[in-house]
Amino acid sequence: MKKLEFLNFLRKNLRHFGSNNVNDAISYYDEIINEKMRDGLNEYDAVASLGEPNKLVADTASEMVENNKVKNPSRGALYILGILFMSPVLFPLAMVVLTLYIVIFTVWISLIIAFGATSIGLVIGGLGALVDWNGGASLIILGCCLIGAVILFVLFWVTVKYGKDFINLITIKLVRKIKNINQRGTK
Amino acid sequence: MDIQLKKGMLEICVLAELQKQDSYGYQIIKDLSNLIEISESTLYPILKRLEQKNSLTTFTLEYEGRLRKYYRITEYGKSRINEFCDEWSAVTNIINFIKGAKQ
Repeated sequence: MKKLEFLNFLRKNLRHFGSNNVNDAISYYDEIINEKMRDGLNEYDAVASLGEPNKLVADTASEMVENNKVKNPSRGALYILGILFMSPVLFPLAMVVLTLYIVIFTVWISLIIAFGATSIGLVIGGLGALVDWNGGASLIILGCCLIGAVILFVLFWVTVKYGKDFINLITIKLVRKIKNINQRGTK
Repeated sequence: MDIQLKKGMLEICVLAELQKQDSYGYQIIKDLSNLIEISESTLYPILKRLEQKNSLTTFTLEYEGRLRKYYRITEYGKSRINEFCDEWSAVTNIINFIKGAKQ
């Protein structure tokens, strides 16, 4: 790969991580390649000495996510995942991460649906008790159902509201793991 | 070597290198590579992190028609080296204890 080709590859694959971050990384690698060529390496060898481009991109991107330089860590992680999938060496790792992600998202969505649906169900059930009028007992059932519905609604709301933060938190941890595995693989 | 440990060591090595003189990316790698395994893609995040933590500042100089980004250690960076050395003497004691327990 020639230098320009390599730098374009970086730019293309890091484009979702903020233009300041990307320009900085590019000028760093540009400088390194120039210095290596000044030291006598030809252009191809200088680029090749940096290692597999996909790995380098994944490393750089992980660092940006981990250091909170990216606005939306979850989205950043998905891009990193895409990069991992492009590299044959990192493909198994990508599969593991993708599976984990699907599990986390599924659990999150299931919780939201479960809390929401049960809450609505309880309200309907309580009203049903009114229709089937049975004196005081009906009112007690309605009361219990409404209390249950409120509790579940709060749980529903908390899951929706803080779920995203939680997933972002997990993402940052996950990305850190990926990076460590990635670096171990470089040796 | 354990990754977290190595990461910490590398940061201090980079700072120590800069304490000798201001330097640029490629030179830092050349100087440190005899001592510890370091690649271009490992150095970059370290430099970013050190800059973010105000352990170093950067400036750009022209050299043979091309720009070179130089890194300079700050007072805070110097204090981190001292801190590391102080902590390390405690680690040495622990290592001696571990070795003693093995025998």
